[in-house]
Amino acid sequence: MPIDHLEIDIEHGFGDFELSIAQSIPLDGITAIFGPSGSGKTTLLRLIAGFLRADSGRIALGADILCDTENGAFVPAHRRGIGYMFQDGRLFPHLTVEKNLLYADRRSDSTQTAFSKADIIDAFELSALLPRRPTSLSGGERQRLALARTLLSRPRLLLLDEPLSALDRGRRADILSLIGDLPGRYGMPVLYVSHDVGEVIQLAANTILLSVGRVKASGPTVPVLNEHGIAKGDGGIEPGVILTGTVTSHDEAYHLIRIAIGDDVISLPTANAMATGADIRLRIEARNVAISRHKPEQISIRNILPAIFKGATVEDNQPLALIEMEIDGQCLRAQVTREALDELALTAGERVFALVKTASLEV
Amino acid sequence: MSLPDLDALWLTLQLGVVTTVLLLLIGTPLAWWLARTRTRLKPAIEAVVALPLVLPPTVLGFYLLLAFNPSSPIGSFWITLTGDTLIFSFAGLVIASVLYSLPFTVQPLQAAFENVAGEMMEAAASLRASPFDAFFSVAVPLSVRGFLTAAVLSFAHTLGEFGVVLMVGGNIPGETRVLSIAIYEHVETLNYDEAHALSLLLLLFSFCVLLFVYVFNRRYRVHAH
Repeated sequence: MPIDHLEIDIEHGFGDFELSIAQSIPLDGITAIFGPSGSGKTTLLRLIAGFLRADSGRIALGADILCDTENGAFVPAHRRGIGYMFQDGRLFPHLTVEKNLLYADRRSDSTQTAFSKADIIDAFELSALLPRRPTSLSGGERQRLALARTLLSRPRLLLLDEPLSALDRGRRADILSLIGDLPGRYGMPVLYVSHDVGEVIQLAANTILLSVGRVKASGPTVPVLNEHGIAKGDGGIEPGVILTGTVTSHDEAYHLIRIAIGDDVISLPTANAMATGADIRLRIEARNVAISRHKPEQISIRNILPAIFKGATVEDNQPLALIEMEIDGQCLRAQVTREALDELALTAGERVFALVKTASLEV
Repeated sequence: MSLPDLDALWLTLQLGVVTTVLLLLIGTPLAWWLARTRTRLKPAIEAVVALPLVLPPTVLGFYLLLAFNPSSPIGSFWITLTGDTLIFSFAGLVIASVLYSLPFTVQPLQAAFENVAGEMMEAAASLRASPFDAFFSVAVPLSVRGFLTAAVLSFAHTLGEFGVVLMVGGNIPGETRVLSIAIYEHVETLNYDEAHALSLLLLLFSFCVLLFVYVFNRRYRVHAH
């Protein structure tokens, strides 16, 4: 029986500030909880899991009240039916890989789901590892096992707490694709905590943007991130946009893919071939975009897109200004100096050219 | 070895085994509670548990002597319960040994539990294991070293006690005359050969016990990560 909403209305003191969240989260596919380190993401997840008791408030999963401080209701973690995958895996070191899986399998009701232990071992490519101890596994293998084990507890809701942060870049791809499959393949809604914008864009249809204990925005991932700029890595928020486009061709001689953004084309260097016709998301940081009144020629920048100047945001005592443009109905931002902005003296609606130095593919 | 000395050896082993079993039964929940509690009383309770480490055994023995006295509430209750006095009896020795060796059980167990208590218990709970289930399926197996260290040290420490036994148990052959008392008596009566035999026995035994603890701790290291 799918549960459609997680209702949260809580106040909880942690560290130097207070988590204060009133949010109804639709449980459909993967929802990202996104924000910089220390914004309260993990605390929120631990409150949902039942590892922490909220100072005050209420959490309900569908019609199930998990916590209500007004009447003292509190369902302990082991009776919530909520799976939690930890950053560090938290595999049981005294059990083999197989027994780790069995631990979850034996304590859950296997008639509740269509998949069996064997299906999971197969899908997560664990059969060769079964007799081994978790301590002898590589980082990627450990997280694969951790995810498989969480699935075998057959939770109603899966909480993933930065499951990729302990892995190096190369190992992330296969875990990412396993996570991306979870809702479709196993019918499990996922809350995914991350401070990596790339993961969020790739995985999550919806995003809740968290900042110092408050929900700053929530809704479909691309508009939410576009509206609030793009957060980069651990630091603060860096302005930028996400463009959606379609792969039109792959130039094997130059190792470039061409991506159509409406009538315009962006070329990007790439190592691997991509299927033409695939829809794609591009992350473009504002600092990698320049603006020109005339179409520049004999310049190394390949991606020169006609755009319409919409306006600029200038803050006092800041050297930089943020320009907003429109290309084929999508928003593009450029970061330039205030001096450059004043010299250009653009008016809203004017035709300009956007020079895009680099963009990141979010496959 | 003379017959009375064999009796003393046998009695000592009995005392060690009974005390260790009781200590594991009492010390495990106490250590678990200490490892998980957030009460402000925790330091006070830890201090009480650790008292036998620093108190002269005669101080503990003196208070136990008062408590075990047939005219005291505890002493008289014991008599109505069993018809026997606590003082100068094997039962009294066991209670005294349990108190005296308590830190040797609780401290290694508490350290082991603190290693696994939070993180691994959360992982187990997220996999639908109740706290009781998780304690036996995760906390205990991950604390095997702690249990072994606790059991071996408690047993060995019980064998080595002298002051407390002398105060509450006296020197009754077959009832309260343990090895350490027997050695003391041999020395008092200038019976050095017998004293040598028993002393060497205790020395070798203690060394083997400690060797086992250190070797075992090195070889079977279980990491939480």
